[in-house]
Amino acid sequence: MIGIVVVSHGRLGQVLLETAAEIVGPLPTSVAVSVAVARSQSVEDIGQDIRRAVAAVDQPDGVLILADAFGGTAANIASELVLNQKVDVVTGCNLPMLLKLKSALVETSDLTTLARCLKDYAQRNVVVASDILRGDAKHA
Amino acid sequence: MPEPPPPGLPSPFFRVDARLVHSAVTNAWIPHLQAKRLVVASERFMHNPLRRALAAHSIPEDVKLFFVREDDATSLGTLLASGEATLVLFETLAAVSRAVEAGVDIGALNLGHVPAGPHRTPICPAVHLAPSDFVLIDRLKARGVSIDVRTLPDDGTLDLWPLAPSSSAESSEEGAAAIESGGFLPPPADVPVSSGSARVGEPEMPRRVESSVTVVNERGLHLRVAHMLAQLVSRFRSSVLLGRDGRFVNAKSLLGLTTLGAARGVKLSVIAEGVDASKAVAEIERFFSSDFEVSA
Repeated sequence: MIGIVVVSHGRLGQVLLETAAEIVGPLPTSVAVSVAVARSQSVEDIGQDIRRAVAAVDQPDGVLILADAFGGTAANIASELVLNQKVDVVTGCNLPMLLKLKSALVETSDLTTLARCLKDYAQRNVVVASDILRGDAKHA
Repeated sequence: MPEPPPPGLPSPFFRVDARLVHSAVTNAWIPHLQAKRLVVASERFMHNPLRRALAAHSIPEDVKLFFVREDDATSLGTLLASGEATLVLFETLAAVSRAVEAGVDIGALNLGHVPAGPHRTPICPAVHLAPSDFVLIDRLKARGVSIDVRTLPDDGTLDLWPLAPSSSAESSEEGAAAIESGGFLPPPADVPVSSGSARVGEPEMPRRVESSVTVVNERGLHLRVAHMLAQLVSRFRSSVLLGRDGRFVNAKSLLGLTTLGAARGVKLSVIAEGVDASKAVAEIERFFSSDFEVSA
């Protein structure tokens, strides 16, 4: 099993987890938690919060951090954990990614496989609806 | 041929941001400033290959990214001489001070992100200043650096020092200078002195009005109230000083007001000078006697 930490600006991560739980069923807090980054927090504080969350869901197969925005503070700080822990980071976390998460966690216990699977799924679910209606393969 | 900065936008734009390259910088400030160069003046960041790589990947493609030590005035000077619209980021006020000490010419400084911590006063949700920061700000101001507290481009500037000559045409140069140099009462001005509240039908001519008020609120002149008071006083053209035990601060300055440490029962002197001095003093008296209620 892989542990999941959703880190975001403000309460976004928590709300995404709650919303996904309503749709596909909840993940236990021993598996998935969220970390909210406040505007007032120092980089050190945020780092501590994220490390604490990672420790709370730590699993032999590792921990996957889902961060809300690439280049954002949460993602920047989370990325530093990749260097010395069994941790990977996927950025651009969205609701489709979290909807996929529950079944994907059952299908794989490999951290990199899970990370790439969620990334692909999340990207595939960002579409312009009218491009699909037009059958525009290039854009859809 | 480098593209010159768009007219009306400051360049280089110097900013203190503890988070350095993050979403607010890449998605708000760079587009706002139409910056073509991002200079990260942080020795710590320079030596962090991961953060450098993340930063390089997260900024717009047409923006060039540079890393430099904050006290490397030579490299900074060369980078800033490019003529392109440039955003310069420092991690802390201390880093800015090191840059200025080293000879970097900074005319205006944006305070965008200074985290909360023990003994830090919140100025806005993302800016919290420690007593040591106030000292650094005073030193920077003494070197002619103007300070703009603003987290995002569309936020209003939190003008902590409206008595500076550039922002208040009515304040006397003398008064401003006295406050800059330590917050003490300026010498008596050469205008008529009256005391107490405004009288109806008072002519609009420069005058000096003195009064005193007492803090009745049980939490004292706390931050939110100080903010309300500074806003209230800022509506008047007169310069207004609030003082305690002979030490006066600019009443339009949130920062100044918070340093008064005015707890419940403390008596404060008020001195206003300018064309609407009487009205300003009357409003302040009403604000204090109403236990800090703002009139519509």
